[in-house]
Amino acid sequence: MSIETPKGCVPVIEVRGLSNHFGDQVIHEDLDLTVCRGEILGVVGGSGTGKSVLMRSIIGLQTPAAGEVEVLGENMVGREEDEAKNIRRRWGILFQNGALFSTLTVAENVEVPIREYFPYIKAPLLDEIASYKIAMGGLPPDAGPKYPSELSGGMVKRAGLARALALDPELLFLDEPTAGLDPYRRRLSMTLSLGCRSGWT
Amino acid sequence: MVASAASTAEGGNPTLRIRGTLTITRAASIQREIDAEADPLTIDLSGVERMDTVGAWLIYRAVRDRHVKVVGASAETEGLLHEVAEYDKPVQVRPEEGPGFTRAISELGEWIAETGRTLVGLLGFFGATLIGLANVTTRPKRFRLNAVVQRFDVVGVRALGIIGLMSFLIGIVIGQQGAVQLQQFGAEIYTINLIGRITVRELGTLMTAIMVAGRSGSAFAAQLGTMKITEEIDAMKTIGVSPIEALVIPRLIAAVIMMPLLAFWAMLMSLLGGGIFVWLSLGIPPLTYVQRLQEVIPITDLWVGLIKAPVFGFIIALAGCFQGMLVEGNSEEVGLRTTTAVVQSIFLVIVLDAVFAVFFSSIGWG
Repeated sequence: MSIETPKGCVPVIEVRGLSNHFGDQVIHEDLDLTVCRGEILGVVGGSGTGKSVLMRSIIGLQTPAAGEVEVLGENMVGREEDEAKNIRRRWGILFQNGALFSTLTVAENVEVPIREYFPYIKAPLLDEIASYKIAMGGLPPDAGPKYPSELSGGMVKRAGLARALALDPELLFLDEPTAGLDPYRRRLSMTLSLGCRSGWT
Repeated sequence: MVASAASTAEGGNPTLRIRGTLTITRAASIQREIDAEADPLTIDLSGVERMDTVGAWLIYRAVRDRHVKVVGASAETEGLLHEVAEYDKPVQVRPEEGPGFTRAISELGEWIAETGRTLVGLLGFFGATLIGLANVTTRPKRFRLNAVVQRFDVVGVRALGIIGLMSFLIGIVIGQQGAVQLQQFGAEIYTINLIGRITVRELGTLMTAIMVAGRSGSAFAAQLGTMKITEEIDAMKTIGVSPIEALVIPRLIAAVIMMPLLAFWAMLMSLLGGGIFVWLSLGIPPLTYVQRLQEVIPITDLWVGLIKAPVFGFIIALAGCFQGMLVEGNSEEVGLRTTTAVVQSIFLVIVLDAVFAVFFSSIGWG
């Protein structure tokens, strides 16, 4: 399975010969994939066809049975934890169910990646950044101090998106972004204009 | 790439020239540079190679709040500045908090109201289980035998090992401590009375109840709490299955039936542990020990121990299931409710044990 790579492509994701299986069940077999800078790639398939597993292999949450994965020029398989840190601040990931930290408010959720990588940013600026990220995610103004359990499914997703956008990522992974969301198209074009180079659906 | 900000004064107005990257990485230093300059200020962005939304936000808020003019912005930078401006909405970030004193009072009030609600809720839950039990007895087809048998296994059979070991050790400890004290009077034979009466009447049931509360009461709360969070219980209701009948009653029945059996097992193991101790340490042979036990333990002691057991089981299961059903919201709440369930049930068990002690003494089962 290979697709022609367009000319002048700067690869941000390179997958070669990826294989995944759970027990006897083969999910991926010898999968090749290249995503270029500026490209939006949507992965479509029925339930249980391995879309999420592919994403998890690329972002390093799932160790593949075989194959190589490179993201933004860095090897993702079998690398050290320290090396991975560099790459983690350059991508944003929206999980299927939002995966918000349930004990933190929406604003605190958005601030988590910023605090982690830029601890010297002071609280007032941090709050301002969180505030416009929340607005970008498409949440109403009163959503900031709410806990994830007080939000609707769609709002959880928007908050997850705000968190994924917290560090202005070069690469954005969106697992099932449209489920539970209404006018997603507008958001997607917005994220792109903000300099996100690649998307994942 | 060298990134820098330099300020010069051109035509009276100070100008801040920003070069290189204007991103979150440099957010703190750029902010300091901007704050250090006096108004009116001109910011020259012609040297900016890369800007992200945080950089744009810093420039935007300077323009918004101060007397600042931006020059030399490229089309891309300009676009991002406009984009950021569009998302400047009064988003509330922190929850509103009143002054400390009123907050303390309102917290106290909420706590009292919450306690009251919990008590009323527990009563309501008790009523709902009674109705559920009545429904199940009038329509035995709705009785979930499989679920009950499964709970028997989890609550009862799987607890045999740990409760047996615990009771065995407690028997030894009582024997050992008793013997040390009674030896001073040359009355070590009374160690047998001590072991026999205290384990059968009190400790066998009480320790079993504490163990069941820790093992099964907590599990009940955690299971039901998780099901509440994942909306399984809501799904059940919409399908027409009563959660009380399907989840609470099997657990309740299992705890009520298993508690006396486990308590009896605990008594036997304690007597065994004590027996081995007095045999090895005081030289009282097993036959004498058994004979002596028969003489000193009135049968009413056994009844006292066994009558309390199902009541304790009921309390433990009720508290566990009730707390589980109260879970709302996040995963932290499951942990909190589970802890509350265990604390509540152990507390109630001990209170009830005291009530029972008074009651049985006054009816002459001393």
